[in-house]
Amino acid sequence: MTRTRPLTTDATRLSAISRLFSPGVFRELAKYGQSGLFARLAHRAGLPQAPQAEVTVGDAFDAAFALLRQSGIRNEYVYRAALTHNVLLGTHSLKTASLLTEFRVGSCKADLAILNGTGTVYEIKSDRDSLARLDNQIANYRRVFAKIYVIAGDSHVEEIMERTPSDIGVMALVRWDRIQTVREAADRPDLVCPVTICQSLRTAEAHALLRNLQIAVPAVPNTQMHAALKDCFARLDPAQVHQEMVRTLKKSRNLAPLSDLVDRLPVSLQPAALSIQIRRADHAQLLNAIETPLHIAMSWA
Amino acid sequence: MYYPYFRGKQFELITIRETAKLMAASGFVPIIEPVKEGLSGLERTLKAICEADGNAIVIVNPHKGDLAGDGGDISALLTGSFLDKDGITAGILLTGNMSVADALACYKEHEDHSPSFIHAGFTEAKALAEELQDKPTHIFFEAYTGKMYWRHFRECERILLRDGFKRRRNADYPVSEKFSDLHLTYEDENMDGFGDFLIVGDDYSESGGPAYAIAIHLTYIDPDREDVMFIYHFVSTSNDTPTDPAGKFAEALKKLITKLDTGDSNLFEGDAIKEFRDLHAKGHFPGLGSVKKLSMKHHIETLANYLG
Repeated sequence: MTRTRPLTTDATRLSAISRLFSPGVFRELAKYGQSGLFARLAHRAGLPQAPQAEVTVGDAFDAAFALLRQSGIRNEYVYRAALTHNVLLGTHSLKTASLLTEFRVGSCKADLAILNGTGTVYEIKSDRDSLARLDNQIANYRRVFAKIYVIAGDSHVEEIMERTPSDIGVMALVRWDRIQTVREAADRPDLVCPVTICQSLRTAEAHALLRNLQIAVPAVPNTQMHAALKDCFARLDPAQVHQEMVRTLKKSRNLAPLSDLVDRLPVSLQPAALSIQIRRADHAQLLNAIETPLHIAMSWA
Repeated sequence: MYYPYFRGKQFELITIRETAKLMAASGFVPIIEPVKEGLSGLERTLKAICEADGNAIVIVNPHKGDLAGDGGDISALLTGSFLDKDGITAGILLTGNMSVADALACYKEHEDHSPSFIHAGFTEAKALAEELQDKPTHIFFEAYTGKMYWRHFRECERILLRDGFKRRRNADYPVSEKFSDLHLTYEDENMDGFGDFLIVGDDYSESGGPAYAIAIHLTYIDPDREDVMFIYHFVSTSNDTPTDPAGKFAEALKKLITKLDTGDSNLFEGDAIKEFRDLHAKGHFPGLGSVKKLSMKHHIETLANYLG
């Protein structure tokens, strides 16, 4: 790789570009309709500052994202974006599929899971991530999701193929936005653990799941509910619980209300909108901020 | 007397409303720093204080939260609804980034609300004292001030705020520890009153992830240790995952009830303890905010009982 700038300058720029897509910037834009953090990072990122009014904050995000995914530091956001666009919005849609981020699974949190007919979890291992926790993550994911994929950068793919069982799917992010399936994941709802699923769900979701199975919700005070639900789930069939979990979560974590917002955001910010919660009342403000001419946004403080 | 300092979040405001009568009867003066954008909760709280014939100091230039740096709405609320209520006065928070001119301008602006100064990082004590014509009340954050600082305001009414609460991860609290002796010693410091940040502490945070452990913090006066105030931390036992807060609350509550039933807890048994016993009997978890509210209420009841 040839460098035209000194390493530190480059590293500072890239880290600023990468941080533009952090939840902090997105939340500030939604909450206040502007973001001092955006302006500071955009300066440090050295984004081209066209004085024309037609270049907007949204354009700047798209330009930054183009740099980010070509750079040597493709971070988790690039992978998340590839999954969002290729799998969630590509194969499925917000009307038929749901997306979970940071979903608690046993002692881990799943990076991203997509629910359509079945439940599929994706573990992201960018080139900068270590594989140290992978075995434990897979062991936990098995307890909740029927299908497991590890999506990784080139440098990891071979090792992941070797160290993971053959029913674990492996994907590679080739070039910067194409996902190549190296190994298909097996669909094994029979291997999940109903008690772990129970602990991943909110109480109201666990209740809904039981009702769908025509099982009475335990009649106990709320301090005893969790233990009672665990007992209840322990007696259920794994595949059936998995199927009902997918059905319940697709309703309770439905993303269809976000369709309108997602459609109106620049492509580079769509993954953020699907994983960072903001108030519905702030949607218009966020869109306004995104449409602000960049030269004005650069003086946000 | 006693000046509890509240960052005016939802459950802090509810605590003030529920203890308004007790605080008024005890001569306690809550200091309220509004931190949330919506001021309707604050307005209801101030009304409750007025109905109880109590006093409160409302900070008109908050430093933390949504309203930091912009207290115009608070000033408008005070002028609009509470100008004729003598019990509600303005507090001016003096932080490190303020000049003497800023402080005096804010003082002038709120003159009609008998403002007091709350010193929290301000560095121009001497100059301010020289410029001030009046003798307003001065309230000091102990962490930011000291004897040299206080002496500039010797001729005024002075209140000292000490944060007795040492924040840790919930799982790391000792069973009990010293909280404060300021209720016994403030006069030795030549102060006219004292205050604290209740069982919340002076570290403001708006967020909080799911808790791995749940803690109930309750203060008590220990007669065997010269009436110094101590604090119990009743912490849940199964703290490996962030799941089941209700079950964890039950564990912490069980420890509290067991301690109470030994008869030598030294905990003051007022309304708050009654509510904890009631929750225990029902097996009900009212939510983390309500638990904090009960602990704050208990702290106020404890001091009202001791000082009353």
